[in-house]
Amino acid sequence: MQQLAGNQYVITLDDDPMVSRIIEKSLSLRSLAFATTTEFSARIPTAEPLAVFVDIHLANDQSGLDIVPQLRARWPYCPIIVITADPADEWLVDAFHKGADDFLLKPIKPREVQARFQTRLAHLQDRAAKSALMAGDVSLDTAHRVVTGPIGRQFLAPVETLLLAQLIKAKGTVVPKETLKREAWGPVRVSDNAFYRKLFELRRALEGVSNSVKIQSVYGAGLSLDVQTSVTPALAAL
Amino acid sequence: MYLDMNVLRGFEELSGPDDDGFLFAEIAEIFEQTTPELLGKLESAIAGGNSETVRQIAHRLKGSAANLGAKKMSELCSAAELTAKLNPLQVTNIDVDPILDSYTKTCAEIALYLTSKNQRKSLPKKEIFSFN
Repeated sequence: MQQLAGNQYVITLDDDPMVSRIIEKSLSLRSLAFATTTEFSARIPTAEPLAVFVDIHLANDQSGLDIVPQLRARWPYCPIIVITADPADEWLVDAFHKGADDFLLKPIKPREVQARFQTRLAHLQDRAAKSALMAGDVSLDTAHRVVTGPIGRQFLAPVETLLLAQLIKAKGTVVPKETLKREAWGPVRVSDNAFYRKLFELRRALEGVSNSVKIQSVYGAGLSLDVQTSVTPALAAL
Repeated sequence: MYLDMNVLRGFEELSGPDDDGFLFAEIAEIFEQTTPELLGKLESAIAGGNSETVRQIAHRLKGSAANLGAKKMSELCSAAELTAKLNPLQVTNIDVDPILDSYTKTCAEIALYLTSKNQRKSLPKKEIFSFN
């Protein structure tokens, strides 16, 4: 099993304290245990778990599934594994719709916990790596639609994210306007006016995060992403 | 047999020579600490004809028993849960005695098993994970 650093942990939401302990021991990782969705919700903003295990049926007729969409929004690349005692549980389908990645059946088998955790973690880490695009000092997180640079961080609209992603992937080459429209809007016909409006918003967002990455218009050809590499004063003087 | 040896073997696999304790002993202790209260609540809910409470507690007991490997008890709780779900008006007819009996016998088997493994008296103190 992959060795993980000592400060990493998983979270278990289950009204049965045995479950958290079994998971903790199975993974050789600490498990932060919660019995109710209310307790867990209060900790979501500050927690950074490696994985979350959620029991579907909690005490007092609470459903662990109620919190799954919130978990998925907060941690897009964190495995969410639901737990149920019933293999024919009709809620399992609902769990996947709400953002769960996998499930465990009770009785919880340590080897199964290890296998599902490792597989889901590897899969989501791979997805996370693929969703991060870099251009100079700017990084674009396509899953969260966030662009980050040395002077700030901006949230982008879905179309703006797709436009910037295409420009980053083109690595400085000129991308025709029609290609960008097709990649960002799909088969929908878009006016130039709408396209330039989005471009204006995107340029403004980039200005808010970096001084060295800009979108250049090449008349009659399209657009490209211009990444200025920093030049030290000593080199500039040469 | 009230304990499922396949489940017990799963716990044994996790307890190597360098381990800080035998997981089954810890799990059994949690089971023995939490189950009597739940059984009391189940008995009251059955007597009071509260089908929803019976369903919820039977479900919880079913899961705990299954995780420990207490197969017989888990099956009995599953049957009680099903009755409460499908025939709520029949909930007072659920016989709680077999569940109580299976719990007692499960505990006796746990004691025998742990004695055979010489683990009963050597439970490590569980470190509480505090979150900051």
